[in-house]
Amino acid sequence: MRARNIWRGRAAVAIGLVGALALAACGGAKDSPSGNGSGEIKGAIDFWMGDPIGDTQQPIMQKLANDYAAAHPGTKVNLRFLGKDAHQTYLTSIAGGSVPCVALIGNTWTPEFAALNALNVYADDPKTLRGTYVPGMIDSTIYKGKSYAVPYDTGVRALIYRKDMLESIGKSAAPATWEELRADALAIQAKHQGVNGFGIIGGAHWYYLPVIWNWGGEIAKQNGDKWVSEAGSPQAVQAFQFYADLLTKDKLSPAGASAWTGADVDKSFGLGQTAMMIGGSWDLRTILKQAPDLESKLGTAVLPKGPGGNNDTFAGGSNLAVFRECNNKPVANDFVKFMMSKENLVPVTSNLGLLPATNDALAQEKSTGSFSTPLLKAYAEQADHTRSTPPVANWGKVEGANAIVNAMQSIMSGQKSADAAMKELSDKINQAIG
Amino acid sequence: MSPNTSGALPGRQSPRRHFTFEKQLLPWAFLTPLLAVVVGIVGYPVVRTIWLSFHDGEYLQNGPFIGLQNYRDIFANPYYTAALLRTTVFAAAVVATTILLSLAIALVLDAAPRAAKVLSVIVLLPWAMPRVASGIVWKWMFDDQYGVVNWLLVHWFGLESFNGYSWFRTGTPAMVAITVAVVWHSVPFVAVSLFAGLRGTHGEVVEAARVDGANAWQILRRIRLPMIRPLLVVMTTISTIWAYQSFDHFLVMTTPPGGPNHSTEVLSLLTWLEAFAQLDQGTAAAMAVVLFLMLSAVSVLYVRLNREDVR
Repeated sequence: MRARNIWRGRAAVAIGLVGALALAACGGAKDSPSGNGSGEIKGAIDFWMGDPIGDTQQPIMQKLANDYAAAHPGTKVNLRFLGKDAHQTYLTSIAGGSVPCVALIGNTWTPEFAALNALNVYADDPKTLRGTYVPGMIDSTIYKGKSYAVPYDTGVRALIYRKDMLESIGKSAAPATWEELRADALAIQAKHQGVNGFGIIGGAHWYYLPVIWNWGGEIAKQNGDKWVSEAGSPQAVQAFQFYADLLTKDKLSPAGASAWTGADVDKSFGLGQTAMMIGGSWDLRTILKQAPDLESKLGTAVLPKGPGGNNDTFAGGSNLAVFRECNNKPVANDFVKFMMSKENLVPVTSNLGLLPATNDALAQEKSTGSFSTPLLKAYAEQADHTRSTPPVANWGKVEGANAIVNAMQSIMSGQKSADAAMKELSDKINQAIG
Repeated sequence: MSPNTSGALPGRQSPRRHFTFEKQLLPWAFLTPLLAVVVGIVGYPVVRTIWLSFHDGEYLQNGPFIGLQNYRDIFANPYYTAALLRTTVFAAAVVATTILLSLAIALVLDAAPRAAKVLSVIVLLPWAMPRVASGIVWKWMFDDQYGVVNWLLVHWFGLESFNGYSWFRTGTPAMVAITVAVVWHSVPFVAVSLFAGLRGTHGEVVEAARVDGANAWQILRRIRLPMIRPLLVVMTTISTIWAYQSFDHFLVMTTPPGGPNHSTEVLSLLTWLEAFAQLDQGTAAAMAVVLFLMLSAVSVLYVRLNREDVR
């Protein structure tokens, strides 16, 4: 999910290196409740989460925690919101040995925390989870063949477009392929002075890394116990070349779009200066808040397909994890079960503007729930076409080092050929995950 | 001291012992809590960082001792050496611009003593602004589509080529934009300090020079600036240290931080990325130690310059 991934990159404002390490060294205070080895549902647990959409979510979660305690006399759920520094807080608490019992963590952090031996195994065989949860989200819980968390919520991106502008070039439906999107965008630009045909986002990899899948390639492949980068493959090179060409050759966005992020495109789209863009349901909210009168002109659709025949994208979202050092696992596991029940799950996810990660609840949201509206339906459909980043402990390093963004930007600026940039990216990925 | 004969001067001995305790032990007794705090919050982290820089480390878990390997690694990393050079050029540009601008402002304040009280408060305002906030505002001002900087350049200065010019698409213009933002933030403090210094240079010496027929430029160049030289040295040193530590503006103004494509990576940002994005605290500690040594060298230089000044 976008918010969490922003945390990864910019997790904290300058706490000095030494400061954080000193914290790690002395963070040994145990405030966990007393042990419970009998399997009885009794005692307190700590439950941590970040708050990706801010304060509005806190009362809802607090109510869940209170409801649980009310339904199970003798238990207590101590809720703690970690704010934007969540990822770092988890890492320091894992290093310091004072972890919560249950936590709602970013899906891409799951393999990383599992590799640190911090999480309880949820399922020895992840295959048993198929059918219950959204596919891309199950993948995000897997580390070395075992599942370490329960998929909780998921957010995907889809195509957001101006119906009126597409109609002005004689189109009634959204482009179904990347090639078609390119042609439509060019036609719109030719007809509407000062409008960007397609909002290009060079500054965040979520928008073009999945294009590799659309071109039939892979980001990385498993080879025995190891993962090997496929970023240097012809499909990957062509995919990045195509996306870069949208900016450099077709000029579908201003030159500065090589450093744009989702927020820049939201702004441009809200001002009526962009005709098509890729964005999450959260972007849709931002745009409609900024320009409510656009609502009647907006359409959404599933993402365009590439030559590889698919339109797969990332499944962002959060997983519920039980920590290995939790000393009240009966309550922890029971609380997770409580959180995952449909009547407790759906109110939370719909408030977040995200999809629930269980197929059962997802179906309900799609048919009658908050994602059954014309504008949001595409997001529910797109959720069936998702994949996850490679489930390796060190994937965070690839993202943290901005290796993917740097590769795309060096192609867009003409500093490197797509071949050279992708070769370098491939080496970087292998260095990090190998 | 006169020799003591026991019994003859019993009263004296006790005050003397008391005196020794007061002079030699009591100060330390009072200092101990503070020293403990200083050692705890300054000494320990510094020593720990140096220790870490000699160890392998990942995910906040320390690995084995590896000697100077971290240092060899960072100097073999082309992005690090590029950042070292870039930071140095950036610091030189920031310090030179800051000092010159501040001096100009200080002279203006000095020339208008009545307005100076109000003016110096206004001048000091940017300094009171949080750096992250000012960085975001500057980023907006340099925005290619809606920014006021491009608008000014096109409409006031007739530079048509800045219509829709993207400052953050490549490294050099991005560094220029960040330099402007950092200078804007560091000028106020230096300007007001220099103004205070210049206030002390209005005495007989300047009067005598004027009587001898020196013009304003000569008085400034030969008399007033040499008189505030210690202050200039201190301000230059502080500005240099600040410039080398610039972080916030780079973090909020570039996408990704240090981008595009590594072209605005400076030492502090690279250290932070290494520590908190790459989670490799060994390498990050080595980078921090190198920066620490460089800034220590700057401080030593400053102390020596000041000493020569006294001579």
